Amino acid sequence: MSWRAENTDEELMLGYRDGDAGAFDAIYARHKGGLYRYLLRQCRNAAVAEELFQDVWMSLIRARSRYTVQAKFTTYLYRLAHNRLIDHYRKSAHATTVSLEDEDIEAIAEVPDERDPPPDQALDSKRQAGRLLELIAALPEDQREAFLLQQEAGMSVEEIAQATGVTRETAKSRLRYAMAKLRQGMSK
Amino acid sequence: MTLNGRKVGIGPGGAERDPRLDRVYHAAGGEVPPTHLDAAILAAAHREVSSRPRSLPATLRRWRVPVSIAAVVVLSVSLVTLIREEGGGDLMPVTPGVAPASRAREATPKPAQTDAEKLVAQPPTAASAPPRPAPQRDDAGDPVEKARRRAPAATARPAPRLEQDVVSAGAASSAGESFPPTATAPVEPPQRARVEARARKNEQSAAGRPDTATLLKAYESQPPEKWLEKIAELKRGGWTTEVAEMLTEFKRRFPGYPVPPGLQ
Repeated sequence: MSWRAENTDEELMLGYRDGDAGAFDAIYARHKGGLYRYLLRQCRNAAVAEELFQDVWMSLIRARSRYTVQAKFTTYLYRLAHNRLIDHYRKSAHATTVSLEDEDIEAIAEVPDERDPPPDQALDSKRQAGRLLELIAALPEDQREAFLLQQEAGMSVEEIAQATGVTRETAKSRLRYAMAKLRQGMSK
Repeated sequence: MTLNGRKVGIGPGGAERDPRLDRVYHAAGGEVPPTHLDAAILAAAHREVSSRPRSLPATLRRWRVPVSIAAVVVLSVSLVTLIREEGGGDLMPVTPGVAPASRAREATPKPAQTDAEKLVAQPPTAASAPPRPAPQRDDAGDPVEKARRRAPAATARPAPRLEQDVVSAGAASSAGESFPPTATAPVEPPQRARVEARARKNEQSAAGRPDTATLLKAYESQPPEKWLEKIAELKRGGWTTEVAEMLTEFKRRFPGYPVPPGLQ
């Protein structure tokens, strides 16, 4: 069966469940970039990101026969990625795994970064992008994840809550703080 | 909505979005996984499909359990029905040597046959034999009559109706009978005689032993023919004592009146 762009992610995944490898090719092509960047921006190590990336897709492949449409496919995929990331953090005892309180975040944000360009100078797009990625990397884990899920997976607050296993209000709060921090950092 | 002088929009799902952040972020770079990683993952996905057979469609998988249960139920019911049909068979208790017709007759005692008295009064000769619609054979060749003569209780000639029933039920070999045919199986004569005797005995048991004094008083004003009929009936019932008493009284009341030899 030939799959088209108008086929939903759920249709593609069901097709793969029923034995159509071409459906997997299509859905992989749709989401490989966003998932890779989601993992890369959080672990900030290409080798680790590739390892986690492969683990996530292998988990999905092994669970092929059991797949049922209970939520959006992106929620299902990034939930796998989130859990795999948590496992990595626990194993590696990453320094940034400590989830900071919002008050601490505000205090950190107020600390000037010597590497930052003078606030009165306009940044070109390339430098802005670089600046933004640095700011994203400086975010607390939960806030960074919420922002990346919004940007890379196009998730709503509700979907972010489902993927990360928190309430809607918590997801909304994390996203709001993340954006506030990023805007504040970009305005400097 | 503005925040820090910058317009912030509400995206789908109530998520707060900043167009500038969106633009800057997507301009930051579109990193993609290396090609060798793509090849490895795609190969694994294809191996998974080829190694496992195609799974059932969701519709079939949903109905797998109910269909299985239904199949087990149908099979069980079929087996039970088959066993019952093979093991049930004829539910009627079968008495060896007794045909269904005789079994049916055993259960129902014969009512009193007033017409039989007429036959008893008539000697069994061709000239004086009462007119019968059937049978065709004579008494000498009638197995029923032979059996009746042999049976101690079956000494009296049965009523035409009774005889008709007996002959029609048992005369499998008789030809040209005008009796209405029955659907029952032929009954052997000795068995029939026993059946008749048993029926009469049931009748008598049900009716109770006749009281001679009562009979004598009842027949006090009766003509001699009636007396003889009653005596014949008592004799058929086996009430020998009552027969003797009635006969004695009959001879006293009607001296010289001819008494049939069968009642002597």
